[in-house]
Amino acid sequence: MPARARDEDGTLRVAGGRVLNVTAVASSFEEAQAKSREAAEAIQFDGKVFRRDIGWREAARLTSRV
Amino acid sequence: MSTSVPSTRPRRTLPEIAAVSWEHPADRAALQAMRAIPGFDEAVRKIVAILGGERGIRLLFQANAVKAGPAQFPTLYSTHVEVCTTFDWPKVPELFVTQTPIFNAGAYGVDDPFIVLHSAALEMLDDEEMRALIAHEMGHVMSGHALYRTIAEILLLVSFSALPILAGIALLPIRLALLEWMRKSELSSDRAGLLGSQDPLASQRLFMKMSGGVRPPNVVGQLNLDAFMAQAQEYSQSNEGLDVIYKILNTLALTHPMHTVRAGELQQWMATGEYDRILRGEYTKRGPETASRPLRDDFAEAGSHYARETPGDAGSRCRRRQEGSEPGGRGLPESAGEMRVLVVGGGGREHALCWALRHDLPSADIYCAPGNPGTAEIATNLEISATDIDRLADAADAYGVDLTVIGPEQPLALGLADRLRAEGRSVFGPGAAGAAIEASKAFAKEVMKKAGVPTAASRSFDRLDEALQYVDSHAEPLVVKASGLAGGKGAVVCATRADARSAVRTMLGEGRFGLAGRVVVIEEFMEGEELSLLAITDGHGVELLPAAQDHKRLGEGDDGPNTGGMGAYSPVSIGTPALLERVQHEVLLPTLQQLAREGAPFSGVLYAGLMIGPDGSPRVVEFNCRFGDPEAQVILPLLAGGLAECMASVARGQAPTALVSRAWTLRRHDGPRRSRLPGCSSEGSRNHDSRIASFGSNRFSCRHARVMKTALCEWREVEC
Repeated sequence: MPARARDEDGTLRVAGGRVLNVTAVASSFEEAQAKSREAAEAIQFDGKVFRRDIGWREAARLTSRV
Repeated sequence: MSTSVPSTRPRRTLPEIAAVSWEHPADRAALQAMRAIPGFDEAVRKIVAILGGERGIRLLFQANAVKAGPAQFPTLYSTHVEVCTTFDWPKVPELFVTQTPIFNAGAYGVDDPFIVLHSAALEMLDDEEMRALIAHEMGHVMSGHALYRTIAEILLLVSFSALPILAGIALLPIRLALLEWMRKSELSSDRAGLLGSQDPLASQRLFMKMSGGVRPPNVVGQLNLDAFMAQAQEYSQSNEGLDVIYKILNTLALTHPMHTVRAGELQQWMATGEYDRILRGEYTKRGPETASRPLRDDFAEAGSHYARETPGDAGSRCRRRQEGSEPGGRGLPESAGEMRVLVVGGGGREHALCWALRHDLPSADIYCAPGNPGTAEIATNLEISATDIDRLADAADAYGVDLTVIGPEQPLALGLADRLRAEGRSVFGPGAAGAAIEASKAFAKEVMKKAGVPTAASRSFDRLDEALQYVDSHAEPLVVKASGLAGGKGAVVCATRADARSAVRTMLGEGRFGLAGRVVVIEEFMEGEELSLLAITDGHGVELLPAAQDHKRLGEGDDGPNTGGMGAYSPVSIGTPALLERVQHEVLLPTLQQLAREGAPFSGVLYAGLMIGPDGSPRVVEFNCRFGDPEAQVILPLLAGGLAECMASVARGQAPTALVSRAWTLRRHDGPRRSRLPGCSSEGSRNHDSRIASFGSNRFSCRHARVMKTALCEWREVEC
């Protein structure tokens, strides 16, 4: 889901700020978290910043219940 | 008044200015609607008769009042005379001060209107604020409001049984129309207040002080016993039963629109340039032509201020009359295939909205303004900024849009929903009044306080010294928030008082966040875990969406500066059905009810940003008046259907219909547990009962323009 990306001649360009979202839908929290992170890592552009720990509180809760 | 030094700032006089120059179209239209109600004229005539005509009304409202003049309240009186000079109004109306701790003022009478100020106003206001208040009341006088305001006071505040003479008249519609008009008439007179004081800051301070805040010194030494006694004699000669006066004067505030709404309205009016034009002398003069000024345009103009009212009120009646259509305005077509939807906004949230709407409405025409490359794949992008109200309204017209869904908060706060509703369109999203729950944190706090909604203890300030004093006398840590819209970045968590002082100085002293930081809210720091609960509502019923949690900090482990949001996930296991139920009853419903009482009815998405304390109790951090971004990107894909229908229903002013949720269970190592989301229909659970769904989202941020090398379709491939 592109947030601040512009289409110029078919090439997506980022225009600064928050430029792109990746949403993963899966049958478990861990799976969804992993898939969204993998997809995010696969996308490449210069100056990319994203967090790999989205949902860390939920992850910690799941782990602590072992 | 706290000082007696006359202002040296030059004020322009406005020779022969007619009240129509500043009257709010909503005021004129509401008055017209009220006069058209069967029985209205008769009720007015009878009430004037009951009260003993002009003289009786004067006595009623002066029963416990001191008349201002050269001998009593001389400073106040000279300000009053100056205001009349500014407006070039030949007959200076009588001015009375009545002793009551409730801040208020009013203009009453039939042919010879007079003004009553509450003593609390004198204690609270400085010279310029008082000038604005008197000019406001002069606005009522010059617009001919006094008679109707008098009638309103009587009809709204005295029980039906006390008015047997009116037994044959259906009073309820008249009362509702009066209340409606009273609120609108304030908007006109607020403009008069500004024109009379010519000090925008004083006008705004006035609103603020009306919301609370009393300042010494009081008015000792201003009273003149002889003059007062002469007046008392006049009163004692009357044998009318006048004990209703306290009831009337003490409840006046009920008839006023929210002060924040009024401040906003006034600001918008100034932004149109009308205020400057009038000061330059470009206005309508009094004369025979103004008396017969047709109301032809008022209904159309008034719409944006009526639209937030519920169906069946005077405003809706105006619209229906204007269009000759049935209640509800332009409805949705029977066939979803013909439906035309406009989504306003251009972020990831709007992509998620278009995506969810497209899922529900495969053959609809969906437009997105301005949209983005993602929305372009499933909708038609329109090159119109989300805040260009005029062009958006034109586009809705040009494309025959049946349903407009407004994503971001700015157009909502600017009144886009009001504008479109005024033109008879179905809109999903609150009007400007309702959007104030997000656009003014000070207002939100006030609403919560009145509704008994749990939240952090706080106070709002517009003065630096008082804010600093508050910081010094409260325990660390503290949270300092800009009251207005600041893109999610207006809240500063301050570990120490020194940090809080510096945050307060940045906002109130240095003007960071501009107007948004002109008022700051300082509140206690709340311990716990944040949770976002969003509900679709028509202002009465709520349909809950799955709970979400977002990540505001830039860095991993929630470190670094605040951003608009770096990612989110949904559902969240701490958002148990029991907790959501509790939030619905302790937070969402009371807030919606209070908003309605404040004259700011809400429909659309009410977003409660919650702090779940260590004991599991929810408290409100903030409200938003729309879907969150990035929360929408994880919440909306959780819906298996029903969003378009639910939005359309709310947009028509009807109760939200059920959302079809994917059933979900969080995998736990102590064995699987299933729980259904609130609003999950039987169809949804049958289809998805055995499924477990969870969502995560990552957001990228980037400082500079760069070329992106990979396609964007990953998220679709991993969808289940």
